[in-house]
Amino acid sequence: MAQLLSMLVEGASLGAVYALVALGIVVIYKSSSVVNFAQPSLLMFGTYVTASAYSLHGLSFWVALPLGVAAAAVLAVLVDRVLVARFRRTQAVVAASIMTIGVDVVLLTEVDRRIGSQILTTGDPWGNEVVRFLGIGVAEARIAALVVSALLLVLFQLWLHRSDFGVAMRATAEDPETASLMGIRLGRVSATAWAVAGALAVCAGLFIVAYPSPGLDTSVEAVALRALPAAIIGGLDSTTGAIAGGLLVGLSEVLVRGYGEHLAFLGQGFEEAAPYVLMLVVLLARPAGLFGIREAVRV
Amino acid sequence: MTGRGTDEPLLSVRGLGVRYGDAVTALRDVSVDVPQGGIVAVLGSNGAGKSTLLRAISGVLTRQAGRMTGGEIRFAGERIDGVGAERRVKSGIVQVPEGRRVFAHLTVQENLRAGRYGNPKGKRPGDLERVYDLFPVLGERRSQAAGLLSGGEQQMLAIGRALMAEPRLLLLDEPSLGLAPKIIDRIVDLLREIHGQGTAMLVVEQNAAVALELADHAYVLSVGEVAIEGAAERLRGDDRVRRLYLGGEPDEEIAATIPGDVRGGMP
Repeated sequence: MAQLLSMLVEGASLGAVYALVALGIVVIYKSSSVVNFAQPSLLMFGTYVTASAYSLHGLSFWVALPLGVAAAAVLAVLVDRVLVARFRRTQAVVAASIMTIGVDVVLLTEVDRRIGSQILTTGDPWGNEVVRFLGIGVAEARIAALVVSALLLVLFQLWLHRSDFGVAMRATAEDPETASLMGIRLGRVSATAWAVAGALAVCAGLFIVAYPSPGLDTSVEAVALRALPAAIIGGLDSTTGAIAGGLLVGLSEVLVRGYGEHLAFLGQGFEEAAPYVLMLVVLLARPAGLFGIREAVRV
Repeated sequence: MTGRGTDEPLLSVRGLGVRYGDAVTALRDVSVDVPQGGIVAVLGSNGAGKSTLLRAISGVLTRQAGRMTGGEIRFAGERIDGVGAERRVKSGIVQVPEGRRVFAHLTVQENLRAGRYGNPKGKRPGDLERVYDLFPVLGERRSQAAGLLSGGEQQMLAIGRALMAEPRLLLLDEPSLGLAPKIIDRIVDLLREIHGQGTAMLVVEQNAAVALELADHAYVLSVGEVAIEGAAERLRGDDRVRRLYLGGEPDEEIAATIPGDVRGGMP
């Protein structure tokens, strides 16, 4: 029982972090119908900037963090403005989406080269304390991940549903041409979505590399990639779906790993495939994802 | 255009040509004027190029791989055919698109807030209330999803949304489409009221009776070219217009009477 409870907390924490990354994919998809496969590389890039600012240049975490967030946001806007915007006029969203795979590969290669065999830490304030409650022990960093991510998710939803910019973004998601007839600048909506996506990815990245993970190394990108099934499970055009999808992926991963001995027939390391299996099952039942409106086929 | 006095038209389209893709010519040498504070109608059957004309004026041709091949568009004396759609909205040209195109998942109020984006003065106190005064039914349903409104209410929302930008020229694409005759009368009355407050209009219609009732001046487009032009009153009495657009014959038969129209144009 205690084991299950501790896995549920871990899974929810990891899931909330995935949700942050998935939200970035969803918000870009909603604002421009482009699926951003480069999201893992934005996460790696921003997290690397923060980690190297702390580990290699001796800056404090509270300086390194905004530096990494800003760097990823700026890079994301550049990708949008310089590359994706070229496809916008002709609505070639499939080509633009596939191009982001190229961006991902190029960027990851460069970040990997710079990381090399190092394991960089970010100097986050959570340390390696373990909190004990209800007979279980959970790393403080995991609790922080859950709380901070939940807070960011709530703030994001409020922004999307209350602010004028949120109205413009949702109007664009529904009907870009009519939105532009209303004077909404599609380029600005898209650039903002990319900036937000980059910033959210780095927030998530900091928690992924926090204790009990040893730090930032090149294996983190495989973790970040699981945000993609999370976004698709929830529905590419639903922010609520991104949160639900993130939680499902986090929980499935932790539970499959935890009960690994009972699932030996699936082979070792099945937890890494679990999110994708879950995605296939969900898509068979609901092609638009759990909360999606538009089927991903339209991409 | 000589002898019209020194009054410059609010909107002036000169020799406009539009093409979709490489082959399909949608408009050829079209010239249309809208005077300050006037109402001008553009008539024509399906595929005559009416919507294309409005898309060219609003600057949203490229989304359907369309482009201008010639001519110029001036608004209040300034050339606008090179600028982006949002700048044209800010300068005072706002379109109510065909089929209403309200944002179905947004509430009525959020639709109006989206319309406010084009207002050059930005957000101002009471701007929502002005639209609710004109369309009380929208005020009652302000927090309902727009997709749940009836057709007539959606048309009112589409017009109200455009008014949020405080346009000097309202472009209306088939405002009567799919509405019951009674509702059409209401919409026509509301458009008159909006016009009375100083907004010029360019109305595109298949329903010539509605358009000629509303407008002072009208153009008839046929296969992408201006076929007839004149005062609305004169066109109401014009034999060709009556036979083709006021006779109440089904569209296909009408189209067959104009040899050009069966060749087909673009939306």
